[in-house]
Parts: sequence; C-alpha cells; structure tokens
Amino acid sequence: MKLRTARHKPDPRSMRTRTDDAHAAPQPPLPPDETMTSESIQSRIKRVIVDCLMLEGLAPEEIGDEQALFGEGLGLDSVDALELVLGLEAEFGIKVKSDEMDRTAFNSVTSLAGFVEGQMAKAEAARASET
Amino acid sequence: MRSDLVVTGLGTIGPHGAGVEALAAGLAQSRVVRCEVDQSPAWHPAQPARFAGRVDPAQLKPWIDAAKARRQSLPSRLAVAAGRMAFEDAGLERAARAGRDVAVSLGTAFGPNDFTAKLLDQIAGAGPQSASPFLFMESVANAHAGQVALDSELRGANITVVQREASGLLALIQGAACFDDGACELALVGMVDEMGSLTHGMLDQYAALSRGAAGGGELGRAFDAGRDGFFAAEGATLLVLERASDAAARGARVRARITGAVRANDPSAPRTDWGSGVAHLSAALARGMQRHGLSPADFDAVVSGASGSRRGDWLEAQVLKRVLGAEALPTVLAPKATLGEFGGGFLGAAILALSSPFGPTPGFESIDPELGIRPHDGRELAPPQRLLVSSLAAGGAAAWLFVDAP
Amino acid sequence: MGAVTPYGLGVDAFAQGLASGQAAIGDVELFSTELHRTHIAGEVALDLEAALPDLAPAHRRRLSRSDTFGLVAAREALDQARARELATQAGLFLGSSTGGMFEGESFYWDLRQPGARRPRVSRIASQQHNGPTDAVARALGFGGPVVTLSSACSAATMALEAALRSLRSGEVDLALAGGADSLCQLTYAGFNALRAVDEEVCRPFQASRAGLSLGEGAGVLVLETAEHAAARGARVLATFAGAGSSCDAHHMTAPDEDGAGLALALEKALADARLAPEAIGLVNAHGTATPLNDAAEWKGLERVFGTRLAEIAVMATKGSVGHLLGACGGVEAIASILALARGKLPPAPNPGPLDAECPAGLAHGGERALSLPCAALSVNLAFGGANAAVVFRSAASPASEGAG
Repeated sequence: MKLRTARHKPDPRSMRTRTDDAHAAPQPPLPPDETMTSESIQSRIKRVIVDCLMLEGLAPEEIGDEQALFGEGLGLDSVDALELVLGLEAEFGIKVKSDEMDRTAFNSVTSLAGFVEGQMAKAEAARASET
Repeated sequence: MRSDLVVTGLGTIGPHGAGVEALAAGLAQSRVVRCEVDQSPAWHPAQPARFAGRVDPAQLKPWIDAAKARRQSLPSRLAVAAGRMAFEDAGLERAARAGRDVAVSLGTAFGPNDFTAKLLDQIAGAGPQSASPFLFMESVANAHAGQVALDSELRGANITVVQREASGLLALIQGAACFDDGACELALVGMVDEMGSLTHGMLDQYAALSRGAAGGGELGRAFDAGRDGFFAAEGATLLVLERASDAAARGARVRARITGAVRANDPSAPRTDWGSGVAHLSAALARGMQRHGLSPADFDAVVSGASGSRRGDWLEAQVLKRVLGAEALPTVLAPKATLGEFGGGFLGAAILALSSPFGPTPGFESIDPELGIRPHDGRELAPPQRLLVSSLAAGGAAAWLFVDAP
Repeated sequence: MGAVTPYGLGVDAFAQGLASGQAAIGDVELFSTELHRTHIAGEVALDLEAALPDLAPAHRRRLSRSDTFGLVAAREALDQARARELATQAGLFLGSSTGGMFEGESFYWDLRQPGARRPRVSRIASQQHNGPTDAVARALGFGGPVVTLSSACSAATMALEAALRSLRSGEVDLALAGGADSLCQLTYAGFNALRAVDEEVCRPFQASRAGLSLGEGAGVLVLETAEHAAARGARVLATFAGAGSSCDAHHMTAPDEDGAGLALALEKALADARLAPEAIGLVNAHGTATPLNDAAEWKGLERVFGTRLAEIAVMATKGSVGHLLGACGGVEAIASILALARGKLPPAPNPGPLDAECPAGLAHGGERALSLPCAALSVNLAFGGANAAVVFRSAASPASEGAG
C-alpha cells in the first residue's frame, strides 16, 4: 500500500469513464432536455425539491420563490441539502463539488436558481474549453 | 440483570394488524395472515416459497407522521409505530418521560435490507456518486433504534442487537441490563424486521422456508413430523420495561414481570443453521435456572421459539426435554407457527401468554418421534404464573427469559 | 488485547505504527475507486493465508474479510491472556457496522447481472452484521452469551459496555469484546454521499479538516473480573472502570451541535467508573475530522471538563488509521490502554494548526507525556445519535474489571 501524508491531491478523474454493464438499476441521469427549458428554472427546482425529498402532499407551486427552505421555513436540513444536490445534478446536468456547497445557496428557490445558473455556466465553459 | 423489572407497555404491528388486540385475536384464533411475495425480481429459487407475513401499509398509516417519516425505511416506520403504541399502552405520555433516562434496545435479524439493496443498485447503476444520502443514513442496522429515539425523544443508551432469530430476546436482555448500575430508568426494547422480496428470496435460497412440501401447504409447522421450514414475517414489537417500584409508584398496569434471563452459545452450530450442542445449551439453561432459584416444576408453560425449522425445532425440543424432563414438560406454546419467524411478534406472544388464550398450533399434525413434543392443542389453560421463553438462533446464539404473571 | 489495523496484524504493529507518527492511509486497492468521489482509506494489507495459517482452506473460504479481522484479533487477545481454553464459558460481545458487506455487495451485484449464472448463496453465509461474531464464536468455541452490537460507529464501544454489565452481574467471569469491520463500497460511497470524506488524509481537530478517512480492521480485549484474573494469575493490562452511553435524539447523521447528548454519555461513564472528571488525563476522542463532528464533540467534552479540558492530553486515533466504523471503539480502547501503559501519547500524524473552536491537546510535533496516574476516556459517536464512552485506568490502580 502506498501511504499518503496529508496535502496529497488526487489526480482529477472523470466521473464516469467506464460503461456499466448493469441491469435493472437506476440509469444515469439524462442530460437536460432542451424542450423542457420552457419551464422556468425556479419551477424545475421546486419539482426537484418535492420529488427528491419525498415531500408527499406538497405541490411544487406551493413553495414560494423566497420561502426559507431550511430551519423554520420548509423545515429541511443538511441531509436534505445533500439529497437535493443529487436531484439538481441530475435535472440540470451539473456536477457540484463538495467545496462548492455554499450554504447560502440553499436559502430559497431564488438563491438556488442563481446557484444552478452559475453551475450551468461553469459546466458550459468547461465543455467549451474541452472542444 | 435485575429481577425486579416489569413490562408495562406493549406495542406491536405485524401481519395481524396494529395493536395488542389484533395480535391477541390472531393467536387466539390460530390465524396465519400471509400474502404472496413478489417473485418478479427472481430472487427466489425454482418452486419457491410463495408466502410471507407482511404488514398492511394502511395499518401503519395512523401511527406515522408522514412528514417526519418521509426518509424512513419500512422497518424504521414499523419500529417508530410500535414504540408509540408501547408508550401509549404504558400510559407514559411524552411529558411523563421527559428528563428521564430512557434506553432503547432493538433487535433486528436483517436490518434495512431493502434500502441497502436500493443503495447498491445506485452504486452499480448510475455510479457511486449518485448514492443517496437518504438511503445511506437509513441503511445502517441501528437506523430503526435511532429513529425511535428521535421520534420519542429518548436520550438513554441506544442499542441495536443483530443475532438472527434470537435478536429480539437478546435485545430485551441487553435493554434490561441497562437498569444495572443505574444506566437507565426506563427502557423500550423489542425487535423489528421487514420481509421484502429480497430477504424472503435469500432465506428461500437457503432452503430455510416452508414450501408446503409435506402437502399441508406453506406453514411453519412447529415440532411437527412433516415440518419443512419456517414461515417468514415482518413487523415490530416493542415493550416498555421499568422497575417494579417505579411502575407501582405511578399506578401502572403491569403486563408481566421479567425475573431473569440466560444467554449462551452453541459453538457447534454452522453459520446458517442450528447445531447439535444439546448438552452444552441444556447445562447453560439449567445453571441459569439454578442461579435464579428455579426448578423445572416452576414453569406452567414454555413459550418456545420453535418455528417449523428442521434443525432449530430439533435442538429446541432436545434442550427443553433435557432441562425440564421429557415426561414432565409443561404446555409448550409455539406462537411462531401463527406469527411467523422474525418481525418480533414472538415477543408480544411471550407477554400475552400470561393473560390471553392461544388457539391450537397451526400446521401441527403428528408428533415427530425424534422430538416427542406435542405443542399446545388449543385446550383452555389456567393462566400461567411462570413462563420459560426460549429463543435459539441459527449460528448458535441462545437466549431464555423467565417471565412471571403480574 | 488483539488488533488488526491498517498498520498490520497485531497489537505490536499497531503500537509501532502509532509511535511512528505516520498515518497508514493511502490509495484504496481493495476495489476500484475510479468512479468514487475520493480515493484513499486505511486499508489492511492482509495475507489471509499468513494470517490464519492453520485454518483449513474450506473453512477460510467461508470467512468474510471482517470475519478474518475479528478472528485474527480474537486469537491474539485470547493467546496473550492465556485464555483460549476458557472460551467455552466466556462471553463474546462484538460490534460491527457492516459485517460481511464487502462480500455481500459483490454477491448482490453478481446476482443482479442479467443472464449470468446465479452466484452460490453460501457466499453470503457471513454477510450479516453478526458475521464476525459468529465466526469468532464458532472458531474459538465461545459457549457463553454471544451478542452482536450494531450501532454503527459506536458499536464496539457499546459492545465493551455490554461485556462490562455481563461481568458485573456475575453472568460470566471472562469475556472478549470489541469490534470488526471491513471497507466496502457501500460505506465508501455512502460517506462520500454525505460529503463527509476528505480527499486527503483526515486531520482531526485541525482548522483545515475537511472530512474523515475510512479504515478497516478489528480491535478486541479480553475482559475479566479482578477476582478471576487474580485467581488464575493473569497479567492485568488495565482496569476497565466504567462505561456509559446516550442518544442525542437530535438528528440521524448530524451531531447535536451543543454536545449535550454526548456529555450525558461521558457523565454516565464517569459516574459508572466512580471517577470525578479531574481523574481523566487522557481523552481518546472520536475525532472523525468532519467539520461538524469535531466541533460538536469538543462542545460535549467542554460541558464535562470545563476549562480543564485545555490541560487534558487528547488522542484522535482516526488520524492514524482512519475511521474503522463498528471496530473503531475496539482499536481506540487499545490505543488508550497502550498510551496509559507508556505514560505518553504517540505523535499525531500530519500536524497542522488547530481549530480555535476545538483546540484539542493532541501530540503535535512529538510525543506528549501524560500526568500519571490518570484514567483514560475513550469516546465514540454514531449515526442515529448513539454516543458511547468507556473509562480505563492503568494496571497499577486498584482493579474491578481487568482488561488483558
């Protein structure tokens, strides 16, 4: 075993470099569908919040753009934030690094929309620089 | 373990429904409640066992707060529901528990298998980075105990015991041990398991389940000559334990007194079956009885863990005969023939045996000459004053409990 | 005592590794981490053949990785205590968080392959959480109470407490207790999903800490009543003075930020040991190195020790071997007893500026002497809010329960 001391930086690796010969398991997220962009980012975020956090009985449109998502507002917590990131990654084709998980981005749907737009722009820039 | 503990609350949910009355009615009527297990994922072998005892989700609903439960696995929900019922049965409202050191000790044979499988699907499917935090935090075996503590605000020791069929009784004993040295003031103890298609299929792959080979249909035919495996069930049963003096001080109804316990292990047991260590287990039980000043004649009935398993029932019968005397055996109840293996109903039956009538043992037709035990035939019994509760697990673990009428 | 750690097989290898001040955390070789978020862990470089040379191949094949860790550690501990033949009446209390999940998950994935031949179900004979316990019980002939505690990261410490209660009640005179766990993709992906894993070697209590490092192994102790140990002339390595546990009842994964739940476990452990907080000179902290955990743990310790906490020597074993999950309480108890015996803490690996919020008295930049005589407190926190703590005194002090 090669021992490490702290400060080691692993090589940057692509997220998926091998095709999975899998089965009935959940499939990788589809890239964002262009036809869906007519739906606002805000309403897509609300849909992701309800679906992926299993908020049964809550309709997406009941969530206000400025409503606090955590604490007193919708009552979400840190694990919800992590689960929500997975949902947003799948919905918007973005990849959020652990050190980019800015707490303030999760204040409301509006702040999340800003965060997602930033991430999408970054992903777009990364794709452009690759080609 | 102290000898002055009493059971003042019983919460149970299982194939028979939610609550003590549903369980008692099922036992009195010898009613086996079962449903077809989904075979579509192909977990099962050819000619599979088809039935399991599962919980009707409608029974669970009134006991669950949907918003709080949104992230919980089925076994967590079952445990939370049974915990709420147990405290209600004990007359211990939230306010009455506040500030007290309440331990939780839950047994589970399998833990949250279905959530674990879903998580493994994600890891192999969309990749490890798609693994759900929700699933992961509920995939640990102690998630159920943690959720119960969170739901009922219980800040004492939070224990999870995993020891196959004996998980429930061992968890009860571990919870009772928390009263030693003042490590708790009140305890919520019991067992929970789910019986999804995957777990059922794997048990069937091990040929552990009854497939109705003897022509009598799929039943856990406890002690029967034609038994061909057990019938698997899900559910949760939780008991409230407290000191007799505390229960008396608050005027609580006492369901049972727990006067002692014995634990041992049969090292001859294979990993997934019962062993042949009759002499060793019998000596351990006999020593434990002696330590508690009990003789074989003191027991009015045995609540046996016999489930219809070939080797397990054999071992159970040999130990009971050797310790209590083959000719002098008291009534032997085998509630797992009605309730199934796992899911904790057995613990509820052990307490109800003091106060509630049991119907004839379902599926029992003829005495196995090697076992020589005829389990309870449904005749009316004088309410037992003292029970021996027995639980032997595949893999070797053994637990016995001495239970007295209030 | 017996241990399998990322430093190697045996308590000596563990002690030497700790003394080296180098962390045994490196690239994962057990499975490909290519698709995972992080790539390092404290992996045990284990040669099964060498670890259990006398075992029949058929028997060895049925052992999971965790089983093997547990069995190797159990044999070492019983041999050191000269207690092998006492197993028939002894208790066995082992913690494990995932049991044989490393084997279980590969079985499951094979089972899911369409069209492939169905894998043999015997491959998961030891998949369950009780796998290591059953493997040890069967191989070494344990005949007393056998119980698996599976309270995630505090499982082994709770197993030590369960053994203590059994010994005190007179149920057994001797017990083996601790824990065993192996790395697997489930926990590796899972802790990464919680963004709780550092890409670099974990750095408990440091300002730059960014998560835990996972690890694997086993740590077990032979515990017996003082009378029993004296009667058979056993060498006493330490006194197991007390134990206590509690639950935050706050959140399934996040610690109670004000440390109240943890403090309750610490206070119970001290009361159980009949010791005042002033008697504690060493704290082996849970110290996972996640930003939240270390801060919350420190709050809990502050509640119990007040300003004196600044003077207490603190170890964070996870900085050396990673987080052994259901086994960590076992190896951390051993690390505590080793430190008490040597009278000093080994140097903590990868020193760096401490977090002002939790300025733990770690041995940064060399060994740190303990002010003897003192007692050691070893602490664990877990999912589900389950906290557990155990207290050891050095061998010289009057004994109630011994650890051999």
